[in-house]
Amino acid sequence: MIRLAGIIAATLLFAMPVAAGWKAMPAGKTVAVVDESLSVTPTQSWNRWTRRPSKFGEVWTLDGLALNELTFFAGVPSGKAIYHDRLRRNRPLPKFKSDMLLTDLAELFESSNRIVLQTSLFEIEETQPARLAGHDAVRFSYSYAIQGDELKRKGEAVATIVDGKFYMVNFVAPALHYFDRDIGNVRKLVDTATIPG
Amino acid sequence: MQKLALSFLTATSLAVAGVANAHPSRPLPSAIGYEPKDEDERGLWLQMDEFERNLKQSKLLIRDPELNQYVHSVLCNTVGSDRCNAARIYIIRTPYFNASMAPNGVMMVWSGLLLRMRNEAELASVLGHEFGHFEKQHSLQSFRDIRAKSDAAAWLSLVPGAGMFASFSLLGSALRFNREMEREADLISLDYLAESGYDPMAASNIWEQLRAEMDAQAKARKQRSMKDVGNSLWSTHPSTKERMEYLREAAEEMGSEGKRKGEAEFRAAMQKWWPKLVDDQIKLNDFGSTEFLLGQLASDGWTGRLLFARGELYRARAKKDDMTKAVGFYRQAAAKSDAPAETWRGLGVALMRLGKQADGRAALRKYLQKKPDASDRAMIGLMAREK
Amino acid sequence: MAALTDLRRLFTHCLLALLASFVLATNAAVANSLVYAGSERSAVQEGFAFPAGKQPKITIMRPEIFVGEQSSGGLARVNADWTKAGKENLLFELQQRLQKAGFSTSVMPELSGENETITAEYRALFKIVVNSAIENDLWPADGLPTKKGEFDWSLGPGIAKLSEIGAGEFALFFYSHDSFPLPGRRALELVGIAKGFDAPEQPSVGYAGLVDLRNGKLVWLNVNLRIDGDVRKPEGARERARQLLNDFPGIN
Repeated sequence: MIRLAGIIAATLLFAMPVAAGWKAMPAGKTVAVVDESLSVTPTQSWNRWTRRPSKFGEVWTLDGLALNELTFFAGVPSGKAIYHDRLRRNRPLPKFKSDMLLTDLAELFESSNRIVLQTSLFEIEETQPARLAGHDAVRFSYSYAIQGDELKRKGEAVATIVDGKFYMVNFVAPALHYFDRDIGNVRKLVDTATIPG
Repeated sequence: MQKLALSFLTATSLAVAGVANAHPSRPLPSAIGYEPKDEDERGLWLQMDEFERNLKQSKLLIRDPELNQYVHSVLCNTVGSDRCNAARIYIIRTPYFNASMAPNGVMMVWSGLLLRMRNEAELASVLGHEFGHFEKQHSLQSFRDIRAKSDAAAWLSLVPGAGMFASFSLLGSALRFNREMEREADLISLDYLAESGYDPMAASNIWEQLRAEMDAQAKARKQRSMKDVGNSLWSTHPSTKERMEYLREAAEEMGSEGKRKGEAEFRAAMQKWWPKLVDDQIKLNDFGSTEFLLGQLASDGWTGRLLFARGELYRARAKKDDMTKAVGFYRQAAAKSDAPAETWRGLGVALMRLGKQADGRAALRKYLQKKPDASDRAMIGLMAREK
Repeated sequence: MAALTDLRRLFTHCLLALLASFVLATNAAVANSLVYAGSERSAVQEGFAFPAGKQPKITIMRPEIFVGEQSSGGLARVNADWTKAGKENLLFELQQRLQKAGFSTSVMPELSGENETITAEYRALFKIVVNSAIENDLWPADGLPTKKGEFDWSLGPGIAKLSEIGAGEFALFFYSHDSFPLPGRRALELVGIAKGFDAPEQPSVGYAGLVDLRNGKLVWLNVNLRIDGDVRKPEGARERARQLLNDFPGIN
């Protein structure tokens, strides 16, 4: 039978993470993220990763990315995937379109994550109206598990479309302890978001 | 033309519909109950046991007892109840086509494979093939062959500290088979199909369908089909074309007349899982494959559920006329008795994206009527309100 | 973002991405700079002390032990007999040492179903927390600025559940890895040394951490990237246990 493909996992495991820097984001200080496309005021001190996941994204953490990961997406234009479409030939990611409805944004996120994380165990739990940076938005909670990892993860994201561009703040953490501990502060931070200009 | 050495039963017993004990009594293969002989083999077994221990805990495992019982029963029909218990079957929730069996008896079947089988005979041929690798101890042979070479550690990329076999793929890389082994397993599978009364053409049909799927996938992506590309995710030794052909020839010799396909039994067993597996497939963002597979599943006619799925597929791709077509599929689904409530949600969203706000909202309201406890009722409720 | 999520998978996937790379010949350059810069570090939560008056019970969680061989290509393969011996010896010697220091000990029983699931999840969470602790506190080459100078890590108070399903008040997790060079590898090293290259010998690696199950805090962590002791033998395991429990609160 077809041999199980995927030495990718093994390759990744051998790779030393490139030493990237961190910058403190102190509590109470308003800061612009993603090339000034979005502004937030954290209620506790976070650490910004100087390495950017994509042109339209930026990542923060409290204790380490695997323990709490806060990602900002800002200004993603129509026709672009929200993550870096690395394997676009064989595993293309779906693209954001500016005529999407807010519920489509949750579906876009789910499908993108299923492909990037290579998992079918991804469930959107609840979807609710919300506000982001003064605009009507969708908030949704989700959970997922990936192959080889016994730890279930929980997430919550708020997303909207402004001037035809995609904006989202997404928080992921292990379902054990970390998500529940930090989500309250994350929601407060999300409430402070503004789009400058 | 490949000459096949098959052990046949008489025609009369073959005519009996897949009765579990329609197999000749032969000595059990040495693979069953095999104890590792030396240090290296014990190391391999240790890792496989550790892998199985982790697998039992895996969140990717589909634990549904009915589905597991069904797959187990098909294995027993195929290889005989005297030997099917050598396998411990694990069904993995992952939307790709694959199955494997390790030397210690762990058999994994991926849900993507279940989605692609059209009947019980096809599933039987896959299970028989994997069991063939097991009973001929191909993995062990492979392990010993590679170990004999100078840098023997190449066979297993163990990552210290990662926990052995951190993923299914690591196990798979270790247990690879060569051309001869694949052919041998194919022939054993045909043997089993013959003995158990299943249609031998099922083996060849799987490859034919897979190749057609690859064509559909490539066409939608405007790429060259991967069906004959070596080293692609899909290909193996021997090539799928070669396998399809020698399996077809062998099946023609054996004859398909009166042999069991088990389509109804298979569909009944998969009924509960198809919606989830189709959903997993749609979310892969692979329009060509999904459209092809939906067509296959609809060979007996388009049900409400399948039409709904088609609507979701087109709505997700959202190119040119897709949204209009999606509306068409959702409406066709809505006319059938088995359309899920989400049909109206999809219809509503599609209509709204086409600028038909009033019709869209009406459809969303119908969704909420049908599913008042929906987890997205707050959001959909807001969208459905008259402006 | 794929890089990010791959990294997330990397951290969650691999026991200790950092440690794993140390034990590979291919990463020798990186490994050397960190290994030779002090190969053993430990930390204790400030102000931690065992409760007085009672003999605290420490339960050893199912360890990850690898004893095997390293080939000339630098990759390791496990030896079942050695691993079995190493595991038995280490479990024995660790318990002996803890008991001598006045603790009562146990080994976490084999569980099944829900209980095994929750235990496995905490083992996975432990690995991630330790990973972060190593990067931030033990070898802070690139630590998080908001966490400088404090060793403060938690697995959350929910871990008290483990005490309900078989553990004592404290849980000891440990990891031990040995790769003995095969003749090919050894030849390579000798050739390298003869030519003047410093072909690094494959170090043995171990770490151990203690979690207070009453509140989820990681109260002690010790990581040794060049640990001693041939665990296949009782004397070797005794030495390894001693080193694993280095700076353990209450032992000295």
